[in-house]
Formats: sequence, C-alpha cells, structure tokens
Amino acid sequence: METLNKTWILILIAVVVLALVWVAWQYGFFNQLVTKEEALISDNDTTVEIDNDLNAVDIGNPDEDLKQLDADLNQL
Amino acid sequence: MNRKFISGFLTAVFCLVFVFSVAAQTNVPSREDIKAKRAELNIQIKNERDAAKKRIETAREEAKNAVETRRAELKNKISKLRDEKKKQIATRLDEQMARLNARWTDHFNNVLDRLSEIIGKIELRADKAQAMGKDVSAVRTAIQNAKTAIESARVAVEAQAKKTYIATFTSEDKLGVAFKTVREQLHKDLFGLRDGAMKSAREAVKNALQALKSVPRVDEEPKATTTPSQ
Repeated sequence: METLNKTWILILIAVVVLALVWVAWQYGFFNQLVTKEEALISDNDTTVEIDNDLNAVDIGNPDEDLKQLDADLNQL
Repeated sequence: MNRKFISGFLTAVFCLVFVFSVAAQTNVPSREDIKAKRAELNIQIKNERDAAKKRIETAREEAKNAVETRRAELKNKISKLRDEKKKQIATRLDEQMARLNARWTDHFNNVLDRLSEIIGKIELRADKAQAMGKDVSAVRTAIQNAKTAIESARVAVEAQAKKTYIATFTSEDKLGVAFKTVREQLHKDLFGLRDGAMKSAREAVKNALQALKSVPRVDEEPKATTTPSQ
C-alpha cells in the first residue's frame, strides 16, 4: 500500500515538473540560457531607435582617399 | 488512502490542463510570433549578407584573372622606366588604386548590410503594428521598394568590384597622364555608385521609415493579452 502511494506521489511530482518545464519553455526562459547566434535585428525597434540607426549609416566620401593619390600623381 | 491519492492526482491533472489552455490563449503566441519573425529575419539577412560577400569576392577574383596579362604588361613597362623614383611611384599608384576600389566596394557592401538590418527592424515594427490592428499597407509597399533598391545597389557594387584600374602608357613622358586618366575613371565610378545606387537605397529605407512613422502610435508594444490578427 505504501509503495503504491509513493508511486502516485512520484507521478504527481513528474507531472508538476513537466508542467513547469512546459510553461518555462513557452515563455522563452530556456532561450535566454542558450548561447545565441549574433542577432542582427535587436529588440530596439522603436521609430526613434530606427531613426538613430539610419542617421548613423554613413555612405562615405571617397574624395579623401582619392586625394591621397594626387600627391603621388603630381610627382610623375 | 489510495482513493485519496487518485482523486488528488486527477484534480492536479485537471488544474494543469486548465492552466495549459489558459496559457495557450494569452500572449504566448503573439510574443512567440514576433520572436519567430525576428529569428527568421536574422537568418534571411545573414544569408543575404553572406551571399553578397561571396559574389563580390568571386567578382574580384574573376576580374583579377581577366586582367592578369595587362597587369603583367604594366609591371614590365614600369620595371623598364629609367627614373627610379617614378618606378616606385607608379608601382605604388597601381597598388593603391586596386586597394582603393576594394576598400570602397567593401564599405558600400557593409552599408547595404546595415540598411538591410534597418529594413528588418522596420518590418518587425510593422508586424507589431499590424498585430494591434493598424493599417500598415503603405509601410509594406515602402519596405518592398527599399528591398528592391538595396538589391539594385548590391548589383551595382558587385559590378564596381569587377572593375580594374590599370594604366596604359607608351612612353615615360606619358606616364603621368595615363595614371591621371585612370584616377579620374576611378573617381567617376566611385562617386557614380555613391550618388546613384547607394543614395537611392538609403533614401528608400528613409521613405520606409517615414511611412512607418505615419502609422498612429506605432511604437506601442502589443499588449500582453492581445493575440495577433493575421
């Protein structure tokens, strides 16, 4: 009788543990523990932050680099 | 005693079934959907990035092989110059021009990678807004236009990476003119790319962001109890 009770208790514990694992998984708790690959798109996606990102994109100006050639070119 | 445990167990199971079903109906799918979309976009952008990088490397390699004979001819001509200083300068200029083109095509490619990431963010924010029942059709069109512009710019950058800048001269006194002509061509090509396809891509991303900003209260996060309407 006592063995039977123990079995039921173990089953109950197992079910509760499984339920907790399931809930944690649903809420993405485990994803935070796993080492992730480099995330290109971060959580910072408000329009202000996107605006800042876009303003930080500098297409650049090749002029300076090209001017460096001129010093040599003038010596030819 | 045994019956007590059976009834206890059944009650626990019923409670858990109830908790599971309630949890499934709350915010979990919404948050999961956004997470999944973000992961999907990350993979997509990474693949695009790797493919573009590979295409540029291949283009460079092809161009290098295609002009191997011409470059060897130039080196040969330079080695025959009488003025030792001019010899050094000509060798250096030839290397610098090739390096400059490589550096700027790499830079433009990195800029396009960044613009792709920004478009990804805009897309994600549009998804959130749509999940809250907002009309984002104009944003979707602008996003598509920006993606097309970025792709066109990638093709243009690849074409630029294929270009080579090798001076051709017949005599030592025409050396300067020959290198100046090549320098002007490089200048024209790099500025053409920057002011053309690159600026268009940036502008298209800016337009997508403007379209996003025009959606009312677009920065609000979907509420915990909201399930996204597809």
